[in-house]
Amino acid sequence: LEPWEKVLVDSEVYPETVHGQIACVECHLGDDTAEEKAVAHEGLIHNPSNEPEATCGECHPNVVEVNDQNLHITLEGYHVMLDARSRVGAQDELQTMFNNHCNDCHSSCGECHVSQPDLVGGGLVSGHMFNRTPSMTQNCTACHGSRIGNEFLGKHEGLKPDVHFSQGRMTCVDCHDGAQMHGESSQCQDCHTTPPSSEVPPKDHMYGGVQQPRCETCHVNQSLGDDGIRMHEQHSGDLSCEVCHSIEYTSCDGCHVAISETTGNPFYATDGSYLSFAIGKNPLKSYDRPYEYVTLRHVPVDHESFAFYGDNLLENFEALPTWKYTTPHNIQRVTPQAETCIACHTNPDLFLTSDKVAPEEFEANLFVIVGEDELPTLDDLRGDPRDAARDSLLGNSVDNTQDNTESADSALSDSSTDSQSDNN
Amino acid sequence: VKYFTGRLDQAARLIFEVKKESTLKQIRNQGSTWLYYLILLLAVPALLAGLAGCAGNEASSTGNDDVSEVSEVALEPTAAPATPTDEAIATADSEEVIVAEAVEPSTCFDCHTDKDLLIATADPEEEVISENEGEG
Repeated sequence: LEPWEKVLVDSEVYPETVHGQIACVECHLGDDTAEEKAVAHEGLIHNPSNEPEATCGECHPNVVEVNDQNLHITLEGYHVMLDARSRVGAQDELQTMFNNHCNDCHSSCGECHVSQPDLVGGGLVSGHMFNRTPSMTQNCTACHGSRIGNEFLGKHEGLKPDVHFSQGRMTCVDCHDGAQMHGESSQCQDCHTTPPSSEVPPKDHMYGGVQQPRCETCHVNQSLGDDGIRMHEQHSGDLSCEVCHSIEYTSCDGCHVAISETTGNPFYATDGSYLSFAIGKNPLKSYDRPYEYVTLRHVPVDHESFAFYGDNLLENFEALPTWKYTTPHNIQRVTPQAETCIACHTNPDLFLTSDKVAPEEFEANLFVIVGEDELPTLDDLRGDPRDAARDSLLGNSVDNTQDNTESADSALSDSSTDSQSDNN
Repeated sequence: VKYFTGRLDQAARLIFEVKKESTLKQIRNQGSTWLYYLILLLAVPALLAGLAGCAGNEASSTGNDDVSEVSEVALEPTAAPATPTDEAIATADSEEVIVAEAVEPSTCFDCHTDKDLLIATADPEEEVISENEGEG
Protein backbone atom coordinates (compact mmCIF):
# COMPACT_ATOMS: atom_id res chain seq x y z
CA LEU A 1 0.00 0.00 0.00
CA GLU A 2 1.06 3.59 -0.66
CA PRO A 3 1.71 5.63 2.48
CA TRP A 4 -1.46 7.70 2.02
CA GLU A 5 -3.47 4.56 1.37
CA LYS A 6 -2.42 3.12 4.68
CA VAL A 7 -4.06 5.91 6.63
CA LEU A 8 -6.97 7.00 4.42
CA VAL A 9 -10.23 6.72 6.31
CA ASP A 10 -13.47 6.01 4.50
CA SER A 11 -15.46 9.23 4.71
CA GLU A 12 -18.79 7.84 3.68
CA VAL A 13 -19.42 4.54 5.39
CA TYR A 14 -17.06 4.49 8.35
CA PRO A 15 -18.61 7.45 10.21
CA GLU A 16 -21.93 5.67 10.15
CA THR A 17 -20.61 2.52 11.77
CA VAL A 18 -20.60 1.84 15.47
CA HIS A 19 -16.85 2.31 15.72
CA GLY A 20 -17.11 5.46 13.64
CA GLN A 21 -19.06 7.06 16.42
CA ILE A 22 -16.12 6.88 18.76
CA ALA A 23 -13.88 9.92 18.57
CA CYS A 24 -10.46 9.11 17.07
CA VAL A 25 -8.63 10.38 20.15
CA GLU A 26 -10.54 8.01 22.39
CA CYS A 27 -8.34 5.21 21.14
CA HIS A 28 -5.45 6.84 19.31
CA LEU A 29 -4.91 9.79 21.67
CA GLY A 30 -3.14 12.74 20.00
CA ASP A 31 -4.82 16.13 19.74
CA ASP A 32 -7.90 16.37 17.52
CA THR A 33 -8.15 20.15 17.79
CA ALA A 34 -4.64 20.90 16.56
CA GLU A 35 -4.20 21.97 12.97
CA GLU A 36 -0.50 21.21 12.73
CA LYS A 37 0.18 17.62 11.85
CA ALA A 38 3.07 17.30 14.29
CA VAL A 39 1.04 18.69 17.17
CA ALA A 40 -2.01 16.61 16.30
CA HIS A 41 0.13 13.46 16.28
CA GLU A 42 1.86 14.16 19.56
CA GLY A 43 1.41 11.14 21.83
CA LEU A 44 -0.41 9.30 19.07
CA ILE A 45 -0.90 5.58 19.53
CA HIS A 46 -0.54 3.92 16.17
CA ASN A 47 -2.12 0.62 17.15
CA PRO A 48 -4.41 1.07 20.15
CA SER A 49 -5.30 -2.59 20.29
CA ASN A 50 -1.81 -3.34 21.56
CA GLU A 51 -3.44 -2.42 24.87
CA PRO A 52 -6.65 -4.37 24.32
CA GLU A 53 -8.03 -4.11 27.83
CA ALA A 54 -8.18 -0.33 27.59
CA THR A 55 -9.61 -0.22 24.07
CA CYS A 56 -11.29 -3.23 22.47
CA GLY A 57 -11.96 -4.78 25.86
CA GLU A 58 -14.27 -1.94 26.81
CA CYS A 59 -16.95 -3.39 24.54
CA HIS A 60 -15.59 -6.86 23.81
CA PRO A 61 -14.56 -8.11 27.25
CA ASN A 62 -15.47 -11.70 26.38
CA VAL A 63 -12.84 -11.75 23.63
CA VAL A 64 -10.13 -9.86 25.46
CA GLU A 65 -10.46 -11.87 28.64
CA VAL A 66 -9.22 -15.01 26.89
CA ASN A 67 -6.20 -13.28 25.39
CA ASP A 68 -3.96 -15.29 27.64
CA GLN A 69 -5.12 -18.34 25.64
CA ASN A 70 -4.74 -16.60 22.30
CA LEU A 71 -1.75 -17.98 20.42
CA HIS A 72 -1.80 -14.96 18.12
CA ILE A 73 -1.02 -12.84 21.16
CA THR A 74 0.95 -15.09 23.48
CA LEU A 75 3.01 -16.86 20.79
CA GLU A 76 3.13 -19.62 23.33
CA GLY A 77 3.98 -22.22 20.71
CA TYR A 78 7.42 -20.65 20.25
CA HIS A 79 8.10 -20.70 23.97
CA VAL A 80 7.03 -24.33 24.34
CA MET A 81 9.38 -25.43 21.56
CA LEU A 82 12.27 -23.26 22.74
CA ASP A 83 11.89 -24.42 26.34
CA ALA A 84 11.89 -28.05 25.28
CA ARG A 85 15.06 -27.74 23.22
CA SER A 86 17.07 -25.30 25.31
CA ARG A 87 19.46 -25.90 28.16
CA VAL A 88 18.88 -24.73 31.69
CA GLY A 89 20.18 -21.18 32.07
CA ALA A 90 19.71 -20.22 28.44
CA GLN A 91 16.41 -18.44 28.99
CA ASP A 92 17.81 -14.90 29.08
CA GLU A 93 19.71 -15.25 25.81
CA LEU A 94 16.76 -16.93 24.16
CA GLN A 95 14.38 -14.26 25.40
CA THR A 96 16.60 -11.59 23.83
CA MET A 97 16.66 -13.57 20.62
CA PHE A 98 12.90 -14.01 20.80
CA ASN A 99 12.29 -10.29 21.28
CA ASN A 100 14.52 -9.46 18.33
CA HIS A 101 13.35 -12.03 15.83
CA CYS A 102 10.14 -13.77 16.83
CA ASN A 103 8.01 -11.26 18.65
CA ASP A 104 6.95 -9.54 15.43
CA CYS A 105 4.71 -12.47 14.72
CA HIS A 106 2.47 -11.23 17.50
CA SER A 107 -0.88 -10.05 16.19
CA SER A 108 -3.21 -7.62 17.94
CA CYS A 109 -6.98 -7.28 17.45
CA GLY A 110 -6.51 -4.41 15.01
CA GLU A 111 -3.95 -6.22 12.91
CA CYS A 112 -6.65 -8.72 11.95
CA HIS A 113 -9.80 -6.62 12.01
CA VAL A 114 -8.72 -3.13 10.92
CA SER A 115 -5.32 -3.06 9.26
CA GLN A 116 -2.77 -5.33 7.72
CA PRO A 117 -0.31 -6.76 10.26
CA ASP A 118 2.65 -4.52 11.08
CA LEU A 119 4.89 -7.39 10.08
CA VAL A 120 3.98 -6.78 6.45
CA GLY A 121 3.95 -3.01 6.63
CA GLY A 122 0.55 -2.34 8.14
CA GLY A 123 -2.03 -0.05 6.53
CA LEU A 124 -5.80 0.14 6.80
CA VAL A 125 -7.51 -2.71 4.96
CA SER A 126 -10.77 -0.92 4.14
CA GLY A 127 -10.71 2.68 5.25
CA HIS A 128 -10.62 1.92 8.99
CA MET A 129 -13.74 -0.21 8.80
CA PHE A 130 -13.71 -2.87 11.49
CA ASN A 131 -14.08 -6.08 9.57
CA ARG A 132 -15.72 -8.83 11.53
CA THR A 133 -14.09 -11.32 9.17
CA PRO A 134 -10.42 -10.63 8.42
CA SER A 135 -9.37 -10.53 4.79
CA MET A 136 -7.83 -13.84 3.76
CA THR A 137 -5.04 -12.29 1.71
CA GLN A 138 -4.48 -8.99 3.51
CA ASN A 139 -4.60 -10.42 6.99
CA CYS A 140 -4.36 -14.20 7.31
CA THR A 141 -1.98 -15.13 4.53
CA ALA A 142 -0.10 -11.85 4.88
CA CYS A 143 1.63 -13.65 7.76
CA HIS A 144 0.81 -17.29 7.04
CA GLY A 145 1.84 -16.96 3.43
CA SER A 146 4.99 -18.80 2.57
CA ARG A 147 3.59 -22.16 3.57
CA ILE A 148 -0.15 -22.08 4.20
CA GLY A 149 -1.06 -19.27 1.81
CA ASN A 150 0.97 -20.55 -1.09
CA GLU A 151 -0.37 -24.05 -0.66
CA PHE A 152 -4.00 -23.06 -0.18
CA LEU A 153 -4.08 -20.63 -3.08
CA GLY A 154 -2.12 -22.89 -5.40
CA LYS A 155 0.83 -20.59 -5.88
CA HIS A 156 3.37 -23.36 -6.27
CA GLU A 157 4.00 -24.00 -9.91
CA GLY A 158 2.32 -27.15 -11.10
CA LEU A 159 0.45 -27.75 -7.86
CA LYS A 160 -3.28 -27.26 -7.57
CA PRO A 161 -4.85 -25.04 -4.93
CA ASP A 162 -6.66 -26.62 -2.03
CA VAL A 163 -9.98 -28.04 -3.15
CA HIS A 164 -11.72 -26.18 -0.34
CA PHE A 165 -10.61 -22.98 -2.04
CA SER A 166 -10.85 -23.92 -5.71
CA GLN A 167 -14.14 -25.78 -5.49
CA GLY A 168 -15.64 -24.60 -2.25
CA ARG A 169 -14.45 -20.98 -2.41
CA MET A 170 -13.80 -21.32 1.27
CA THR A 171 -11.59 -18.93 3.17
CA CYS A 172 -9.61 -19.38 6.37
CA VAL A 173 -12.46 -18.51 8.70
CA ASP A 174 -14.72 -21.16 7.26
CA CYS A 175 -12.70 -23.68 9.23
CA HIS A 176 -10.82 -21.57 11.76
CA ASP A 177 -13.57 -19.95 13.75
CA GLY A 178 -13.39 -17.02 16.10
CA ALA A 179 -13.02 -19.15 19.19
CA GLN A 180 -9.92 -20.75 17.71
CA MET A 181 -8.47 -17.46 16.52
CA HIS A 182 -9.10 -15.64 19.78
CA GLY A 183 -8.20 -18.42 22.15
CA GLU A 184 -10.59 -20.35 24.22
CA SER A 185 -11.47 -20.38 27.81
CA SER A 186 -9.99 -23.27 29.73
CA GLN A 187 -13.26 -23.63 31.58
CA CYS A 188 -15.65 -25.99 29.82
CA GLN A 189 -18.62 -24.49 31.61
CA ASP A 190 -18.02 -21.13 29.96
CA CYS A 191 -19.56 -22.63 26.83
CA HIS A 192 -21.32 -25.69 28.17
CA THR A 193 -23.60 -24.15 30.72
CA THR A 194 -24.89 -27.41 32.06
CA PRO A 195 -22.96 -30.03 34.06
CA PRO A 196 -20.67 -31.91 33.91
CA SER A 197 -17.74 -29.56 33.73
CA SER A 198 -14.03 -29.99 34.06
CA GLU A 199 -10.88 -28.11 33.30
CA VAL A 200 -9.17 -28.63 29.94
CA PRO A 201 -5.48 -27.86 29.70
CA PRO A 202 -5.04 -24.71 27.62
CA LYS A 203 -3.70 -24.97 24.11
CA ASP A 204 0.01 -24.29 24.38
CA HIS A 205 0.89 -24.61 20.71
CA MET A 206 -0.89 -24.93 17.41
CA TYR A 207 -1.31 -28.69 17.59
CA GLY A 208 -1.94 -28.80 21.33
CA GLY A 209 -5.24 -29.51 23.04
CA VAL A 210 -8.37 -30.31 21.14
CA GLN A 211 -7.92 -30.71 17.41
CA GLN A 212 -9.53 -27.69 15.83
CA PRO A 213 -10.52 -27.49 13.12
CA ARG A 214 -10.83 -31.10 12.14
CA CYS A 215 -11.85 -32.55 8.80
CA GLU A 216 -14.18 -34.98 10.49
CA THR A 217 -16.45 -32.16 11.61
CA CYS A 218 -17.77 -31.82 8.06
CA HIS A 219 -16.73 -35.16 6.56
CA VAL A 220 -18.48 -37.35 9.09
CA ASN A 221 -19.20 -40.32 6.85
CA GLN A 222 -15.67 -40.40 5.54
CA SER A 223 -14.22 -40.39 9.04
CA LEU A 224 -16.47 -43.26 10.07
CA GLY A 225 -15.58 -45.19 6.95
CA ASP A 226 -19.20 -45.72 5.99
CA ASP A 227 -19.23 -43.77 2.76
CA GLY A 228 -18.57 -46.78 0.56
CA ILE A 229 -14.96 -45.86 -0.13
CA ARG A 230 -12.80 -48.77 0.85
CA MET A 231 -9.78 -46.67 1.70
CA HIS A 232 -11.78 -44.75 4.28
CA GLU A 233 -13.08 -47.98 5.68
CA GLN A 234 -9.57 -49.32 5.98
CA HIS A 235 -7.60 -46.27 7.03
CA SER A 236 -9.85 -43.74 8.72
CA GLY A 237 -8.46 -44.68 12.09
CA ASP A 238 -4.75 -45.00 11.44
CA LEU A 239 -3.97 -42.31 8.86
CA SER A 240 -4.57 -38.61 9.21
CA CYS A 241 -6.68 -37.26 6.36
CA GLU A 242 -3.69 -35.36 4.94
CA VAL A 243 -1.71 -38.55 4.40
CA CYS A 244 -3.97 -39.43 1.50
CA HIS A 245 -5.39 -36.06 0.56
CA SER A 246 -2.52 -33.60 0.50
CA ILE A 247 0.10 -33.05 -2.13
CA GLU A 248 3.64 -31.67 -1.91
CA TYR A 249 4.19 -28.83 0.53
CA THR A 250 7.00 -26.57 1.62
CA SER A 251 9.72 -27.60 4.03
CA CYS A 252 12.58 -25.38 5.16
CA ASP A 253 16.12 -25.97 6.35
CA GLY A 254 18.68 -24.23 8.49
CA CYS A 255 17.39 -20.96 9.84
CA HIS A 256 19.96 -18.76 11.57
CA VAL A 257 19.32 -15.41 13.17
CA ALA A 258 21.66 -12.56 14.02
CA ILE A 259 21.97 -8.80 14.33
CA SER A 260 23.45 -7.05 11.33
CA GLU A 261 26.85 -5.50 11.94
CA THR A 262 26.19 -2.79 9.38
CA THR A 263 22.66 -1.66 10.20
CA GLY A 264 22.08 -3.09 13.65
CA ASN A 265 18.85 -4.67 12.46
CA PRO A 266 17.87 -8.23 13.27
CA PHE A 267 17.82 -10.56 10.30
CA TYR A 268 17.47 -14.23 9.46
CA ALA A 269 18.88 -16.49 6.79
CA THR A 270 17.48 -19.84 5.81
CA ASP A 271 19.38 -22.47 3.89
CA GLY A 272 16.48 -23.02 1.59
CA SER A 273 12.93 -24.12 1.14
CA TYR A 274 11.73 -26.93 -1.05
CA LEU A 275 8.65 -28.93 -1.81
CA SER A 276 8.42 -32.29 -0.14
CA PHE A 277 5.92 -34.88 0.94
CA ALA A 278 6.70 -37.19 3.82
CA ILE A 279 4.54 -39.61 5.73
CA GLY A 280 5.91 -40.45 9.15
CA LYS A 281 4.91 -41.68 12.56
CA ASN A 282 2.64 -39.39 14.53
CA PRO A 283 4.74 -37.48 17.09
CA LEU A 284 1.63 -36.10 18.79
CA LYS A 285 -0.38 -39.26 19.16
CA SER A 286 -3.19 -38.73 21.60
CA TYR A 287 -6.86 -39.36 22.17
CA ASP A 288 -7.58 -36.39 19.94
CA ARG A 289 -5.00 -37.26 17.27
CA PRO A 290 -4.97 -41.04 17.31
CA TYR A 291 -3.43 -41.54 13.88
CA GLU A 292 -0.48 -43.87 13.47
CA TYR A 293 0.83 -41.99 10.45
CA VAL A 294 0.67 -38.31 9.60
CA THR A 295 2.28 -35.92 7.17
CA LEU A 296 5.54 -34.36 8.38
CA ARG A 297 7.10 -31.06 7.45
CA HIS A 298 10.74 -30.17 8.06
CA VAL A 299 11.06 -27.03 10.16
CA PRO A 300 14.15 -24.86 9.79
CA VAL A 301 15.47 -25.12 13.34
CA ASP A 302 19.09 -26.15 13.54
CA HIS A 303 21.57 -26.90 16.33
CA GLU A 304 23.17 -23.52 15.67
CA SER A 305 20.09 -21.47 14.84
CA PHE A 306 20.61 -19.09 17.75
CA ALA A 307 24.38 -19.37 18.07
CA PHE A 308 24.70 -15.59 17.66
CA TYR A 309 23.19 -15.22 21.12
CA GLY A 310 25.22 -17.85 22.95
CA ASP A 311 26.87 -21.22 22.81
CA ASN A 312 24.95 -24.42 22.94
CA LEU A 313 21.64 -22.74 23.68
CA LEU A 314 19.73 -25.64 22.16
CA GLU A 315 21.46 -28.29 24.20
CA ASN A 316 18.34 -30.50 24.17
CA PHE A 317 17.91 -30.22 20.42
CA GLU A 318 16.91 -33.89 20.25
CA ALA A 319 13.92 -33.36 22.53
CA LEU A 320 11.67 -32.62 19.58
CA PRO A 321 11.65 -33.84 15.99
CA THR A 322 12.64 -31.48 13.20
CA TRP A 323 10.16 -33.29 10.97
CA LYS A 324 7.01 -32.00 12.55
CA TYR A 325 3.37 -32.96 12.53
CA THR A 326 1.77 -30.83 9.86
CA THR A 327 -1.56 -30.31 8.18
CA PRO A 328 -0.81 -29.09 4.65
CA HIS A 329 -3.44 -26.78 3.23
CA ASN A 330 -3.51 -28.22 -0.26
CA ILE A 331 -6.14 -30.89 0.11
CA GLN A 332 -7.17 -32.74 -3.05
CA ARG A 333 -9.81 -35.38 -3.50
CA VAL A 334 -7.52 -37.49 -5.64
CA THR A 335 -3.80 -37.50 -5.00
CA PRO A 336 -1.00 -39.59 -6.50
CA GLN A 337 -0.51 -41.59 -3.31
CA ALA A 338 -4.21 -42.33 -2.84
CA GLU A 339 -5.12 -43.02 -6.42
CA THR A 340 -4.79 -46.70 -5.74
CA CYS A 341 -3.74 -48.88 -2.82
CA ILE A 342 -0.59 -49.87 -4.62
CA ALA A 343 0.41 -46.29 -5.24
CA CYS A 344 1.24 -46.13 -1.57
CA HIS A 345 1.81 -49.75 -0.63
CA THR A 346 4.72 -50.14 -3.00
CA ASN A 347 6.18 -46.68 -2.73
CA PRO A 348 8.75 -46.10 0.05
CA ASP A 349 9.53 -42.68 -1.44
CA LEU A 350 6.43 -41.33 0.25
CA PHE A 351 7.70 -42.18 3.71
CA LEU A 352 10.21 -40.54 5.99
CA THR A 353 12.77 -43.29 6.11
CA SER A 354 16.11 -42.94 7.84
CA ASP A 355 17.97 -42.22 4.62
CA LYS A 356 15.97 -38.99 4.21
CA VAL A 357 16.96 -37.61 7.59
CA ALA A 358 20.15 -35.61 8.04
CA PRO A 359 22.58 -37.56 10.27
CA GLU A 360 22.84 -34.71 12.80
CA GLU A 361 19.06 -34.75 13.17
CA PHE A 362 18.63 -38.48 13.29
CA GLU A 363 18.23 -38.74 17.03
CA ALA A 364 15.69 -35.93 17.14
CA ASN A 365 13.54 -37.73 14.59
CA LEU A 366 13.92 -41.24 15.89
CA PHE A 367 10.27 -41.52 16.81
CA VAL A 368 8.85 -40.26 13.55
CA ILE A 369 11.04 -42.19 11.12
CA VAL A 370 9.33 -45.12 9.44
CA GLY A 371 11.49 -48.24 9.67
CA GLU A 372 12.18 -50.36 6.63
CA ASP A 373 10.16 -53.18 8.15
CA GLU A 374 7.22 -50.87 8.76
CA LEU A 375 6.75 -49.75 5.20
CA PRO A 376 3.44 -50.86 3.71
CA THR A 377 3.78 -53.71 1.26
CA LEU A 378 1.69 -55.69 -1.17
CA ASP A 379 1.41 -58.36 1.48
CA ASP A 380 -0.68 -55.96 3.55
CA LEU A 381 -3.24 -55.94 0.80
CA ARG A 382 -3.74 -59.67 0.79
CA GLY A 383 -6.29 -61.68 2.69
CA ASP A 384 -9.03 -59.11 2.79
CA PRO A 385 -12.19 -61.22 2.65
CA ARG A 386 -14.13 -58.35 1.15
CA ASP A 387 -12.42 -58.58 -2.15
CA ALA A 388 -11.95 -62.03 -3.56
CA ALA A 389 -10.99 -60.62 -6.92
CA ARG A 390 -8.13 -58.75 -5.38
CA ASP A 391 -6.93 -61.85 -3.52
CA SER A 392 -6.94 -63.80 -6.72
CA LEU A 393 -4.95 -61.13 -8.44
CA LEU A 394 -2.37 -60.89 -5.71
CA GLY A 395 -2.49 -64.42 -4.42
CA ASN A 396 -0.01 -65.93 -6.79
CA SER A 397 2.41 -63.14 -6.91
CA VAL A 398 3.88 -61.60 -3.88
CA ASP A 399 6.96 -61.52 -6.10
CA ASN A 400 5.64 -58.27 -7.52
CA THR A 401 5.60 -59.19 -11.15
CA GLN A 402 4.82 -56.13 -13.16
CA ASP A 403 1.72 -57.61 -14.76
CA ASN A 404 0.12 -58.55 -11.52
CA THR A 405 0.90 -55.24 -9.91
CA GLU A 406 -0.68 -53.37 -12.74
CA SER A 407 -3.72 -55.61 -12.77
CA ALA A 408 -4.25 -55.23 -9.06
CA ASP A 409 -3.69 -51.56 -9.34
CA SER A 410 -6.28 -51.24 -12.01
CA ALA A 411 -8.76 -53.44 -10.16
CA LEU A 412 -8.46 -51.42 -7.01
CA SER A 413 -8.56 -48.20 -8.93
CA ASP A 414 -11.81 -49.21 -10.56
CA SER A 415 -13.24 -50.24 -7.27
CA SER A 416 -12.21 -46.99 -5.68
CA THR A 417 -13.52 -44.90 -8.53
CA ASP A 418 -16.83 -46.71 -8.46
CA SER A 419 -17.20 -46.13 -4.80
CA GLN A 420 -16.35 -42.50 -5.14
CA SER A 421 -18.85 -42.08 -7.95
CA ASP A 422 -21.49 -43.76 -5.84
CA ASN A 423 -20.67 -41.44 -3.08
CA ASN A 424 -21.14 -38.45 -5.30
CA VAL B 1 -26.65 -16.58 36.02
CA LYS B 2 -25.03 -17.24 32.62
CA TYR B 3 -27.59 -19.93 31.89
CA PHE B 4 -30.53 -17.63 32.56
CA THR B 5 -28.88 -14.72 30.79
CA GLY B 6 -28.50 -16.97 27.74
CA ARG B 7 -32.14 -18.00 27.94
CA LEU B 8 -33.28 -14.40 28.27
CA ASP B 9 -31.15 -13.49 25.29
CA GLN B 10 -32.74 -16.27 23.24
CA ALA B 11 -36.23 -15.15 24.28
CA ALA B 12 -35.47 -11.55 23.36
CA ARG B 13 -34.21 -12.63 19.92
CA LEU B 14 -37.34 -14.74 19.39
CA ILE B 15 -39.61 -11.82 20.27
CA PHE B 16 -37.60 -9.58 17.97
CA GLU B 17 -37.90 -12.05 15.08
CA VAL B 18 -41.67 -12.47 15.62
CA LYS B 19 -42.16 -8.74 15.82
CA LYS B 20 -40.07 -8.18 12.69
CA GLU B 21 -42.09 -10.79 10.82
CA SER B 22 -45.41 -9.34 11.89
CA THR B 23 -44.26 -5.83 10.96
CA LEU B 24 -43.34 -7.09 7.51
CA LYS B 25 -46.76 -8.70 7.17
CA GLN B 26 -48.42 -5.47 8.19
CA ILE B 27 -46.43 -3.57 5.60
CA ARG B 28 -47.38 -6.09 2.94
CA ASN B 29 -51.05 -5.88 3.92
CA GLN B 30 -50.94 -2.14 3.98
CA GLY B 31 -49.22 -1.93 0.61
CA SER B 32 -52.23 -0.30 -1.01
CA THR B 33 -52.43 2.29 1.78
CA TRP B 34 -48.77 3.19 1.27
CA LEU B 35 -49.39 3.55 -2.46
CA TYR B 36 -52.29 5.84 -1.73
CA TYR B 37 -50.13 8.09 0.47
CA LEU B 38 -47.38 8.15 -2.13
CA ILE B 39 -49.75 9.27 -4.87
CA LEU B 40 -51.18 11.89 -2.52
CA LEU B 41 -47.69 13.15 -1.71
CA LEU B 42 -46.85 13.60 -5.37
CA ALA B 43 -50.25 14.85 -6.51
CA VAL B 44 -50.78 17.62 -3.93
CA PRO B 45 -47.62 19.59 -4.78
CA ALA B 46 -48.33 19.13 -8.47
CA LEU B 47 -51.82 20.46 -7.94
CA LEU B 48 -50.49 23.38 -5.93
CA ALA B 49 -47.97 24.15 -8.65
CA GLY B 50 -50.66 24.07 -11.27
CA LEU B 51 -52.90 26.41 -9.29
CA ALA B 52 -50.04 28.75 -8.63
CA GLY B 53 -49.23 28.84 -12.35
CA CYS B 54 -52.79 29.89 -13.05
CA ALA B 55 -52.70 32.56 -10.37
CA GLY B 56 -49.73 34.43 -11.87
CA ASN B 57 -45.94 34.79 -11.75
CA GLU B 58 -45.61 35.84 -8.13
CA ALA B 59 -47.67 33.00 -6.79
CA SER B 60 -45.90 30.65 -9.20
CA SER B 61 -42.52 31.22 -7.58
CA THR B 62 -43.91 30.31 -4.15
CA GLY B 63 -45.31 27.09 -5.53
CA ASN B 64 -41.96 26.05 -7.04
CA ASP B 65 -40.22 26.61 -3.71
CA ASP B 66 -42.59 24.12 -2.18
CA VAL B 67 -41.69 21.53 -4.77
CA SER B 68 -37.98 21.98 -4.29
CA GLU B 69 -38.35 21.64 -0.52
CA VAL B 70 -40.19 18.39 -0.89
CA SER B 71 -37.53 17.06 -3.27
CA GLU B 72 -34.71 17.99 -0.90
CA VAL B 73 -36.35 16.31 2.04
CA ALA B 74 -36.89 13.19 -0.01
CA LEU B 75 -33.30 13.09 -1.19
CA GLU B 76 -31.48 14.06 1.96
CA PRO B 77 -31.45 10.78 3.87
CA THR B 78 -29.97 8.86 0.92
CA ALA B 79 -27.40 11.45 -0.18
CA ALA B 80 -24.09 10.59 1.46
CA PRO B 81 -22.01 13.65 2.37
CA ALA B 82 -18.77 13.94 0.44
CA THR B 83 -16.74 14.95 3.44
CA PRO B 84 -17.25 15.14 7.19
CA THR B 85 -17.44 18.90 6.83
CA ASP B 86 -20.46 18.60 4.55
CA GLU B 87 -21.88 16.16 7.00
CA ALA B 88 -21.61 18.64 9.83
CA ILE B 89 -23.27 21.32 7.71
CA ALA B 90 -26.24 19.15 6.88
CA THR B 91 -29.33 20.39 8.67
CA ALA B 92 -31.93 17.72 8.09
CA ASP B 93 -32.68 15.29 10.91
CA SER B 94 -30.94 12.43 9.09
CA GLU B 95 -28.80 9.65 10.53
CA GLU B 96 -25.66 11.57 9.57
CA VAL B 97 -26.56 14.44 11.83
CA ILE B 98 -27.07 12.09 14.74
CA VAL B 99 -23.57 10.79 14.15
CA ALA B 100 -22.23 14.32 13.88
CA GLU B 101 -23.75 15.09 17.25
CA ALA B 102 -22.19 12.03 18.81
CA VAL B 103 -18.69 12.79 17.57
CA GLU B 104 -17.32 16.28 17.47
CA PRO B 105 -15.86 17.10 14.06
CA SER B 106 -12.12 16.77 14.35
CA THR B 107 -9.06 17.68 12.40
CA CYS B 108 -8.21 13.96 12.37
CA PHE B 109 -11.09 13.33 10.03
CA ASP B 110 -10.47 16.40 7.92
CA CYS B 111 -7.01 15.14 7.00
CA HIS B 112 -7.50 11.41 7.02
CA THR B 113 -10.38 11.49 4.56
CA ASP B 114 -8.58 13.74 2.11
CA LYS B 115 -6.39 11.72 -0.21
CA ASP B 116 -4.64 14.73 -1.75
CA LEU B 117 -3.86 16.24 1.61
CA LEU B 118 -2.44 12.95 2.85
CA ILE B 119 -0.23 12.69 -0.21
CA ALA B 120 0.96 16.27 0.23
CA THR B 121 1.72 15.94 3.93
CA ALA B 122 3.10 12.38 4.00
CA ASP B 123 6.49 11.93 5.60
CA PRO B 124 9.02 10.40 3.22
CA GLU B 125 9.08 6.68 3.82
CA GLU B 126 12.28 5.30 5.22
CA GLU B 127 13.62 2.72 2.87
CA VAL B 128 14.39 -0.37 4.87
CA ILE B 129 16.69 -2.75 3.07
CA SER B 130 15.92 -6.25 4.22
CA GLU B 131 18.96 -8.30 5.06
CA ASN B 132 16.94 -11.48 5.38
CA GLU B 133 17.91 -14.34 3.15
CA GLY B 134 15.70 -17.20 2.11
CA GLU B 135 12.10 -17.86 2.92
CA GLY B 136 10.83 -16.80 6.32
